[in-house]
Order: sequence, then structure tokens, then C-alpha cells
Amino acid sequence: MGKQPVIAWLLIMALVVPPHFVSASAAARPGRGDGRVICGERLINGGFEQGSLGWSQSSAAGHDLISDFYPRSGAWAAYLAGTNNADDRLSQTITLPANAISSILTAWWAIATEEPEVGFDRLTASVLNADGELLADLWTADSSAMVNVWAPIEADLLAYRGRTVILRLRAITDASNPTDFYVDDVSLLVCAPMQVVYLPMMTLAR
Amino acid sequence: MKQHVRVKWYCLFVVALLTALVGVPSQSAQAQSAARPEIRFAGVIRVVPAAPDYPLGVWQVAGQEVIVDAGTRLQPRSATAAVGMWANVTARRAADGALIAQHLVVMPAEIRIKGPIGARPTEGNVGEWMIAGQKVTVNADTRISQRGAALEVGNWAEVFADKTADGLLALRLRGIEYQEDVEVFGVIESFGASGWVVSGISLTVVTDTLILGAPAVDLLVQASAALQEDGTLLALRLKVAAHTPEGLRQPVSFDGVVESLPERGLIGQWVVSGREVIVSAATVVNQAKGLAVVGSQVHAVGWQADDRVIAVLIVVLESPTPGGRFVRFRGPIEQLPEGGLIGDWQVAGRTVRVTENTRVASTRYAKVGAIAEVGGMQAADGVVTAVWVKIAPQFGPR
Repeated sequence: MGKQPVIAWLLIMALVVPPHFVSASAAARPGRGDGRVICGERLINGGFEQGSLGWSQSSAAGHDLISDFYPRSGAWAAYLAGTNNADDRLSQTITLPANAISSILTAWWAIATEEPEVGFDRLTASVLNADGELLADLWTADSSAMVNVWAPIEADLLAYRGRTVILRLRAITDASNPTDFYVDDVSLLVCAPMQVVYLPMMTLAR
Repeated sequence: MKQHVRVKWYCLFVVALLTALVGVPSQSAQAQSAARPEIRFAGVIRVVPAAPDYPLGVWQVAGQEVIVDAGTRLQPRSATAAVGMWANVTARRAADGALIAQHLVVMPAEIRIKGPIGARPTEGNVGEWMIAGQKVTVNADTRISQRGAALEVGNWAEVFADKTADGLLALRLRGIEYQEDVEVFGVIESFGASGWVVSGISLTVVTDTLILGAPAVDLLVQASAALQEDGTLLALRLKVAAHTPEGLRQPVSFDGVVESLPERGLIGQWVVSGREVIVSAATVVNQAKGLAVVGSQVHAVGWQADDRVIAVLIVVLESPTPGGRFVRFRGPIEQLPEGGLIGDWQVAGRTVRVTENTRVASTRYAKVGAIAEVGGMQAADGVVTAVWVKIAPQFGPR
């Protein structure tokens, strides 16, 4: 056996990179497995710079919810409500990898309103299942907020790893004194261990 | 064995003693810190710490030095504040008198005005506009939204503007519903018994003007005003963005149920959940969600004066009166009641019921053919119980 040509198996580490994982700078952080973690953006067009790409929208009043009226960065942002009896929704389907070790949703929001210091009108970020049933409300803002100040949102979506879910932004106003809700720079940064794959290699016998 | 137990007890005693010496004062300090009232104000940033220390160090906001340390929650963290921007500060006073910022929100220096459009370019949006009696320049970079209302002369708009050497330059302009009062949000540049200047906009002050908070140059203020026939603004309410625990006119806000109202009209003494609330002609009584009657649930904002509250704003949250929807419209007065203003009016084809609780502005212009703006609750039968009526020429094209 010792004189037999050695059949060697060459170990090759190959990185299997999930879709949209493009953040090289965020990679190579200590984690599980071989000790490396890669992080990447899971949302498409979170800054709305490519119009409605990646997002589905519905508006009770028929408004286009992607607007250049008040972007936080770039030239476009989401602009929900702004009329009485508004029910405006923007949503995007996302799949969170089963091996995710963190999954953080961030976004920025601001308002302009005619409401008098009371939170009658609301903007809610929610997670729905693939059938559109509500799983959880992540965060809610209302018309009592400070006008014209971009404020951050942060929510943990790790509970939904391994699932395909819908992220939804929904603005509802009542019958008087409308509120504009602006949202921009939405991001879902997911981190997962790099996967190590052992590939068999043929070695020629002498 | 006995010696071992003795050593154990000795160790426990030492630990307890150390805890008492170190832990108790610490808890006490925390308790004192928690009990120490907050100071809140908003104004112009005049000094910002330079890099590389930024944001840590001494800031100057509205003439006050504020220390930003590692414990300060700064918003937003992603952008660098610059001199001339605005900041909203929540701070506590340290034992040595220094103000330690707990929360500091940096805001763009954007003046906000809500008011009627008196004039606008005839073609396109670029050019000079008159909004709430103020000249506002709209250029090609100004963002426009007509989602809330069309930007036509006579309609209302909200403008977010920069103050430049040439006047107000609109950054964003959006159409809004008719409002009862003009609003201006900006920086106090000067103030006196007869007039204030807010971001270059002059406001006439009279004895009836409600002033909430102590004014100072560089503080922000939200002004509610009436646009006068000559284009000037008469201040109704001035809400200064400053609250110091030791200051006069401590602000107060609470929710409650209206237990009694004045015999006639809304002006006078209310009782809201056992508290006396004084409502004057300058108090905003927002009835967009329901009419103010006994049993209404309200949110009240004002200041404490002895055992009474002087109300600046009352918002009806819920009302036991039959439902309806709040409507706002504008049109010609077609009919007036005989012998006074109380009764049913016809405005733009609708029946408008004016009661003792209705605020009627510019009553001297009330005549058939005049243009009126109406805000009120429309019942199922179409009759509008007016909350406010404004009659030209207080607004619109002249």
C-alpha cells in the first residue's frame, strides 16, 4: 500500500457567497466555522435610487411612493401618505439564510405634518410571511415626531433566518390633518459564516 | 473549623463594608442624577468641537455652552454638525453648573412657513412666490409636492426654506389643506413687547399674544399668527423651544376629559379631569377629530399658573358628539343669517352652521359675495358645523 501511487486529495477552500453579498470590507470578521464571517446587503434598491426596482407598492390614493421630494441621500426616497385616509404600502420579499448569525434592518425616516403634536397618523415597519400574514411589527413612528428631522430605525430580523419573508412599510392617516412620511436608506445587513466546501480532486497514478 | 468560619464571616464583612462604601454613594448619585430635572432647548449651533475630538467637547447652542461626552446620544451620528445648523438639546446641570448633554439632535437650518399662497409665477414654478405674506424664491432645485393640495393662489402651502442674503429660498414646497392660522418656525433674532423677528420674518406682538417659554436670541420658536390685510403677521401664540426647570411659566401637557365648559362659547374657564384650564382667544382649540363638548377627551398644552393651566393648545382626541368628518373648503358666501353671524350660512353651496363656539375671523368682511374659508365637522346630512371661518381679505389674492 505504501508503494502504491499516492492518491491525494487536495483540499480546496471555496467560498460560497450568497446572492447580494458584496461587502468585501465587512468580511473577514471572526465568527464560527473557520473563523470568518461575511456580511452583505439583502435588500435590493434600499435607497430607492433605481425607482421601484425590488419594491412593490400600493397606495389608496394612487400615488407613486418613490419620489424626489425629500431624499435623505441621493436623489430619491420613499414618500408615503401625505393625504387624508391614506393607506400606502411598500414591500420587498427577502430570504434570510439559515446560517445567519446577525440580521439587522436599518432605515431613516422623517415627517411633515398638519397634526397638532398628537400621534394620530402612523408609519409601521412589519414582517409578513410569504402569504402576506403579519408576523410582527418591528417599529412604529407617528405624527407626534419632530418635523424635518431624519431619525434612524434599527430592528433585528435574526428570528426569521431560514425563511422567506416580506418586509413592509405601511403609512396610515386618519380623516383629517394629513402627515407625510419619508423613508430612505433602508438596509438589511446579514452576516453569516463563510462556508468551507471540500472538493474531490483527481490525481494521476504513476 | 471555628477559625475557618470566623475568616469566612470576616471576608463577608469586608465585602459588605466595601459595597457600602463604594456602592451606596454610587446609587445615591444615580438617584440624584435621575431626580435632577432636565433642561431642554433648541437653537442655533454657534460652536462645534473641531476634529479629531468631534463630537466630544464643548458646543455652544443658543448662547449656552453644552458639554457633549461619551454618554451623550447624538443624532444623527453619521453626519457632522456645522456652525449655523440647529440643535435640539436635552441636558442636565452638573454640580459645577455645567450643562451635560444627554441627547442632542442636529437639524438642518430650515425655516418652515405654513400659509396661504398670495402670489406665484404664472408659468412654471420658478420665480417669486408670496406665502403667508412673505416673499419666497423658488428655483429649479426646489422640490415640489402637490400631493396634499394644488399649489394655486388662494390655497395653502408649507415651505421649507433657507434664509439667504436675498431672502427666503425654498428648498421644498408642498401643498397643504386650509389651516386656521399661519405658522412660522425659525430662529428668534430679536424680541420685544411689540414685535419679534423670527428668521427675518416680522411678527407683531400684542397683549393677547400667548408666549410659552422665555425668549432669547438664537432659540427656535414656533409662531402661530394671523395674516393681516396689510400683509403683516399678528402673533397669536409664540412657543419658544426652551424649558428650564427653574424658569417661569412651567410648561404642562396632559390628557383628560372635559367636565365643564364656559356658558357661552369656548373662551373662558374649562375643567378638564378636575383641572382648571383657561382658554383665551389665542388658544388653539383643534377640533379636527371631534367637537369640544362636555365629555370630549382632550390633550391640553400650556403653562401652569398657580393651580390653573393657561392653555396654548387643546386638541380634541375623541368627542361624544355624533360622528362626522372634518372638512375644509373655500368659496363665496351666498347667504347669511338675519341679525348676526350666529346661524346657518350658505357657503359654496353648503350649509355652514356658525355657533357661539365658531371662531370667525375678519367679521367686518362678512357679506354675501365675499370669499370665506371654512373648517368644520360635516354631519351625515351635509351640514357643516363650523369650527372656524375666515373671510377675505385676510387671505388669498388681493
